Amino acid sequence: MMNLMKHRKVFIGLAVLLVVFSLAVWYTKGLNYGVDFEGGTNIRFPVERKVTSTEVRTVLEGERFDEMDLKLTSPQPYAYIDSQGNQRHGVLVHTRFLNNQEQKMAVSALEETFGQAGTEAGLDVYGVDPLIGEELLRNALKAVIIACLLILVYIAIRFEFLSGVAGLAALIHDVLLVIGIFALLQKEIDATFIAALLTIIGYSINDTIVIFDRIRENQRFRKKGQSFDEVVNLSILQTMRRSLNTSVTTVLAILVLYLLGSPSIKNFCLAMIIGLMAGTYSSVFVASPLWAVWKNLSEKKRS
Amino acid sequence: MRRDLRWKTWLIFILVFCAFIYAIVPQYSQELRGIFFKGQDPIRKGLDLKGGIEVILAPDYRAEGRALIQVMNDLLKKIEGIGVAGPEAKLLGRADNNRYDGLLFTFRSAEDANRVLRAKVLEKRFNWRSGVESKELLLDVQIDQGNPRALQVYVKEDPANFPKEALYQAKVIISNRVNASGMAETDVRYDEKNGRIQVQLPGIKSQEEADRLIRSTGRLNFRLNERIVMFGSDLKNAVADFDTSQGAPVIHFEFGRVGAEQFADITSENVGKTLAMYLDEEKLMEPVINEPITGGKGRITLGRGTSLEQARNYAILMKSGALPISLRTVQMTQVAPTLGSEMIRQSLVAGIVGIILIILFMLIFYGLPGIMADLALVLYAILVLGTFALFRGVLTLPGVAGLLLSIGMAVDANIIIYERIKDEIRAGKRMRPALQGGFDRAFWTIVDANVTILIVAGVLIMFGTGPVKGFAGTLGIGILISMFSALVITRAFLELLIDRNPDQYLKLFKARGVK
Repeated sequence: MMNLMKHRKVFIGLAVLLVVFSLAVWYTKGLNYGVDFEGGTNIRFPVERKVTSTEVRTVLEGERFDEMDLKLTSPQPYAYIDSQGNQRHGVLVHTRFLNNQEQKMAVSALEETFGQAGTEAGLDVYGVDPLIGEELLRNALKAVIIACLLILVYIAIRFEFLSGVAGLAALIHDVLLVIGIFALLQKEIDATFIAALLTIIGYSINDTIVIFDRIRENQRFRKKGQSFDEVVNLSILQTMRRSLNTSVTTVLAILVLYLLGSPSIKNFCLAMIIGLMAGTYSSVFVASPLWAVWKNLSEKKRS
Repeated sequence: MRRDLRWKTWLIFILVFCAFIYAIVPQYSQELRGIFFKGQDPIRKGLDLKGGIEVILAPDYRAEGRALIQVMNDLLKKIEGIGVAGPEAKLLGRADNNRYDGLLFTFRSAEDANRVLRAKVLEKRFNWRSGVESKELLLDVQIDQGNPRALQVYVKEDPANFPKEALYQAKVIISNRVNASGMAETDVRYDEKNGRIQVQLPGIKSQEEADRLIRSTGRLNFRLNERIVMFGSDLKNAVADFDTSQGAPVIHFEFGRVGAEQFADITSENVGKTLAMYLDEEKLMEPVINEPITGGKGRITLGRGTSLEQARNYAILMKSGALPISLRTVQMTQVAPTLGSEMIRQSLVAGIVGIILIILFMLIFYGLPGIMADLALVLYAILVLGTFALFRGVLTLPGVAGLLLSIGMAVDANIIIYERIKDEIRAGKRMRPALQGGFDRAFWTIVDANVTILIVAGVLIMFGTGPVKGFAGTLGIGILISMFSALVITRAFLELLIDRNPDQYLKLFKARGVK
């Protein structure tokens, strides 16, 4: 039988390395908060032809906006092919939170230069007051922390406290890794990103529980002299096929959504793909070995 | 066939059949849609899939320019009081509905600014009174990061001081107005915890239309010499008409009991004076009081040049101004209808491709039992749609993602079960006991694993907002039904499959290592 536990230092070490790397990137590069959390207005303005960022910038930095200080960031032109196969263009304009009149001014300035966007063409506006942004971020953090604590309690009741802690450690690994990669790529952090994080938490803990469940069962039939390492090793191997099959199917489904889905759902899918892979790794190679290590320690202390 | 198996199978099929008739057939049948859903879609689509405008309104805590100028003068006196040379003062921020973010004091030196800050003469709470108006402002004083000589005094939202009653009334008024517009599937909600009013107007095409319904949400006020003497909250009605005897349009208005008394007092004391009518800070009319109006009912005669249409607009604005509070937009989402239907097509394609991939995967890895699981998956999808239609849930784009993920979980449960069955076969059991054992041993694994996800979904529903909530809702429903699908439907199908001559199916499970 393959002995995975022999390499547990490598596995846990790798996880620690990834976490440290993520924290470092997070610290140095910072996160790119979206409109949801920082407040601001995003206007997706459809255009007939390809436009450049500078062109759009000139329009919105015109005289009449002098007083307003739009806090315009570099407009991002985008292109996509719609479901009928037509090539479409647009430009994403990000400013501070605009009130009604200001928003109307900005849109009509764009319309004067690039032609009527109109509703049929797909004008898309999303604005959040910075005040609400803070509220959303606070609520999101609260949600993540409460979800983690409840999961810890549930596992502690259904399994044992150490399992809960080991599972939580794996969760922290997954969440930090996703945040780290998003910081590295400077992808936008918005409300759906938080939803992705929470789903990843759910999935990862699901993986972990399936293995812990095996460990619980195998421990019951533990032969004399069989160490915790052996029990864990056996349980991991027994559940390996399921872990891989499930990850592959889920990642496949989300990969499709990532490739075919609309731009607004791409970030969500990216986070999910990273998180699912991290979650599978951490359930198998972090949570279970950690549990064995702690279990061994507490056993030693007792004897 | 075993009797319990027979009724179980029937039950499943009846359930699925009902869900199919209820949620899927009406998509194509106008008649059924009329019977079940009053003509609406069985699965209601969210704004992002349908297009439209959503606005979240909050009480406007910012102060009007005229109020701020008085606050400014008061504060300047206090600054002088501690012996600091008078700073240059102006209004902070951009005028929005004539309201500003606060005040900006620029001192002679950074030292002066610091002294004022330390002396705390600019207190946190500031009570301001003028006429019938009073305001309790929450101020936040800080040094301007770009200029150390300047102090910014921001007016902040004060959650401890939400005008709960007024907000609720405002919600009722807006909801009446939106309902009266006759638009379908509009939604007006009051979030008491955060003091917000959420207005959803699906299908609406332009900002102007939305404006007419919810943006003219000012507070009607009457002013004598630029001072507010009364608010129009108690205005019961205002109707425009054309008075042929005078050759000019008139507006008839009527107050409730409290308003009538107030109005009687004001008009009796000020005959001959101009009583200006404002909506928030916007001047509507400047009628002159000709005689005391005591019964609560009165009329305004407009100038000869005014058109009847103009008069009607004034009447509407007067009525719309009956909001007891000024509101402002704190979140705005506008999605074009075309974009929405584009999203639906895209997510449909993504969903179908995803499901096909999963079906193929199960087929390749588990053969015939895999097909049973696939069939259970299809029934699962119908059941989810049925449940969704039953609860009149609103499907959003993140909701679609939640559904896809729950499909993943449904597959996972099947994989867990099949691997367990294989284990049992490997351990030397025959088909029937292996099936039994596999399901028994997988049961708690699946429950434990799914409960944790349900916990996450629950937390999201409680603390999430908008898109996150939609996601959590479908995820939660999906997970519950996926458990049912794996533990009941798949099981029934497998038992049916092996009912006669079970052991011939042993090889189908391809359990390696069976001797």
